[in-house]
Amino acid sequence: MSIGVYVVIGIIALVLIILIGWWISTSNTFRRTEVKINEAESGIDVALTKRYDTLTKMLDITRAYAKHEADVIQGTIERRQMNSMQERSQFNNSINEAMGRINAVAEQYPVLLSSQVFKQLQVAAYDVEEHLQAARRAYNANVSQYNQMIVTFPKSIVAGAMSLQKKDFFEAESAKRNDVKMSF
Amino acid sequence: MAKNYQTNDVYNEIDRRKRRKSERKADPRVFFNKEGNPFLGFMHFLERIPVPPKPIDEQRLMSDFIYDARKRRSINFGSLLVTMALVIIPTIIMCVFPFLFISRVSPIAIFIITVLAILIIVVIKMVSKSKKKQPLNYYTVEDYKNYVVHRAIGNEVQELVYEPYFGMPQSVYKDLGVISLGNIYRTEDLITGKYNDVYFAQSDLVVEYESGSEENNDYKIVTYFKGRWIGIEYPKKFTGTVVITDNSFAHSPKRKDLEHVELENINFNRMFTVRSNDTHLVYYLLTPQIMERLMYLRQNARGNVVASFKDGILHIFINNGKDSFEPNRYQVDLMRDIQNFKYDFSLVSGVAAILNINDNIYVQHNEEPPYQQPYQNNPMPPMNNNGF
Repeated sequence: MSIGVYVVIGIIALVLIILIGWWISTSNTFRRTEVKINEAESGIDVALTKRYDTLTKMLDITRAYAKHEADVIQGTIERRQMNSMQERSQFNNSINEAMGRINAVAEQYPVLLSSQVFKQLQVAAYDVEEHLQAARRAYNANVSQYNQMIVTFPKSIVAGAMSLQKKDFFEAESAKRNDVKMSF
Repeated sequence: MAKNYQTNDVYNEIDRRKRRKSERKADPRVFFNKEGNPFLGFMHFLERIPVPPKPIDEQRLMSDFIYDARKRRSINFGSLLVTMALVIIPTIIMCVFPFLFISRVSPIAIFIITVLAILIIVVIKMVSKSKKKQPLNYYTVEDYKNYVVHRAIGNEVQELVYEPYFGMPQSVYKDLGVISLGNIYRTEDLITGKYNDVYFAQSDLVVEYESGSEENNDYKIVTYFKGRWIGIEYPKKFTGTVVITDNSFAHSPKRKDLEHVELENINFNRMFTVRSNDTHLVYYLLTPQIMERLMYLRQNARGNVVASFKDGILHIFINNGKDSFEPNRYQVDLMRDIQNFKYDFSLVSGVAAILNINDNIYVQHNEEPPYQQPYQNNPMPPMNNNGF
């Protein structure tokens, strides 16, 4: 074989090596982003669980002053298995709603509102809410990056070969979240 | 062992070199008190002994400073006279002597005549000075600065402390690892107190790297940082580190222990690089509002901005190449200095407002500690009709 053939084979081999390297690197980027998304997802779960626990404690305190109202609010939320982001969003919204209702009840009972334990729980609820927002932003930032990679060429080829699907964002209803804001 | 520093104590530094040496080696955590103003922990390393407070007599303070300014101006005038004498007298000799038919004047004669003329000028000045019998200065420039600080912000800042010789401790700076370490470290004009329920501290800081020697013609000095350090006790409790570096700042060390975190704000990412050992913490501390306001600070501070969240404190470094608090000692103007200081302080108060942590839920407005008297060595006299 002539030198020209070797050169062509060499160039093809080089291009193949570069392509394989790029393919591996891109698929690794997808995997790493997926791990990050899973981490952020677990962060959301932790924050949601903490929110639920705080809400339950607040309901326990409220029950001492307004048993009926507390029981009604308790009936609207239940701890459930959260498999999808949509379910998590719904659960979060139901907690938001319950928080708003607890605060509305507390407004009617000044002794409850001025209770030290209730105040501490309000601060804790606010802090957990901040952590949830942080986890939500981290998750959405990673999902945004992931979805952009999936749809943009040439990474979309790798994504297609790996059968990757766009992921859902964790939606937050800001109007309802504002209900939870408290002031001293 | 560290002692509890009280805000109404007055200390007099006894050995600055020894203190700086121990400051460099100290564990950075000891500089922050766990209760009350965390920045008062800085005082533990001042190695000072209590001295009676120096009462401020405003008239005397001003007369001392005006006298000091006159003295400085007269010294300048004196040196100008001597310089002129050095140039003019030999010229006169060179011009006049030929007319006096003295054809050759030796350089030694010119030198002797010139020196004699200068000596006569100096003696005349000394005699005229001794006749004036001016009193010795009782107040120092530090007393003046202390006074200006209290007059400017004493009403809005609680538990105000001004320490002219102290600032951001070197071991804390080193521990933060946000700006390169140099071999020259200067810090001064520490001001700390409580503004809008938030404890803060600020000081001037210069970090430089000196290398080579003049003999080898390779002497150079590189300024890594010149500007202001601001520390704010952050209301959110956290452990971990978040470092925010200005992308246009060249003297930040590479931190391999921290991971780069891309935030959702594209403009913020263009302006700053964020690194942390906890991604969740980045999103927890850098809320969209705070990001917007850090960008605002970057655009208005006229310099690079580097920030770091560490151990419950937000550290902000503003590299604007300025020495923030140096009164003009040649022309004393109290009201101008107060206004200048108020303007300088607006950067700190602005940061507190910008970061929107004053009215944060974590600050317990209804559980304030008992009122503490402000720094006792400089009780603020009421303003008189002259504006003082």
